[in-house]
Amino acid sequence: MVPTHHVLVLAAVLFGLGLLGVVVRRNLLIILMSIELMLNAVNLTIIGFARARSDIEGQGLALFVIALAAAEAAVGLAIVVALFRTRRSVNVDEANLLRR
Amino acid sequence: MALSLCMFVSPSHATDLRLSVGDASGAASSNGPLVAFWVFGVLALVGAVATISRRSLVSASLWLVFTLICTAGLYLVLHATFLAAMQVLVYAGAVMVLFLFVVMIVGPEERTRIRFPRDALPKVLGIVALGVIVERLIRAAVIARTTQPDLVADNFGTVRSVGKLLFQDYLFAFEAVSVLLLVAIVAAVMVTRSATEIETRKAEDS
Repeated sequence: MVPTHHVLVLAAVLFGLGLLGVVVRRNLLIILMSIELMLNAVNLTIIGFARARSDIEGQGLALFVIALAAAEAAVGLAIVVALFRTRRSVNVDEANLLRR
Repeated sequence: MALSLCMFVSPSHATDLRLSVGDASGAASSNGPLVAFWVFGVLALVGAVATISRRSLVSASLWLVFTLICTAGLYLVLHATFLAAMQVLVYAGAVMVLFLFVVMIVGPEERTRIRFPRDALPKVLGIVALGVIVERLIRAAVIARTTQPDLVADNFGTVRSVGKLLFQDYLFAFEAVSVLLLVAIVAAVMVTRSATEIETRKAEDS
């Protein structure tokens, strides 16, 4: 029996680590990976609550989150490839043409 | 082997019902899921820290695969068996392979360092902000603690029950997600068209 707040604390720390990765790292691929980490933390929270309430609908929601994360990863990676093709680098600091 | 792993980490539902009726002697047996949860949990945390801190892109990708598999183990402990399988197949399988393909295109060497701000003030503010966010989440989690017994139905989290949910109650959402995936594929192909490709297509069509 896993107490629900254990699940929520673990998911919160995982989310914080993903957030740290998004903010600190400058490589777009690492940023995308950190976003996937955050989505996983959210999924863990959803499943923890689904288990606590014995509600199967939470697992359906988590499955949709996985599907959406896959679609978002596909489009995000396509953008990475397009960026690399034009700028020859995936450093977000160098993608600053629109900045004044 | 996977089946025996399932039987170790997720308590059988019959055991749950026995425990809730007041079986006071089972100290070691009732802690199995908690131990398994924290084993997977600590491994997932280690994997997450490693993912965001690697300089090499390939190392970061592989550490993320490790983290995703540990998360699938966590789902197993939380009675989400179908979702654990889907996590390994789709997330750790398909999505990370996609990441590795793009890492192959971009090149395995990471040419920039992890950049921390030079001055002390942004660093301190950043750490304080992150600490506040995580602390709020943890506080909300602890407030929400209950001591309910782990009562789940026999078919909770199985393929059949989740499938019934997807194909009966959420059929429209299910079909909409498949359309979404098609849109994502088309968008990915469109975004990565090179300029010469577009020119050749225009010349062909006219």
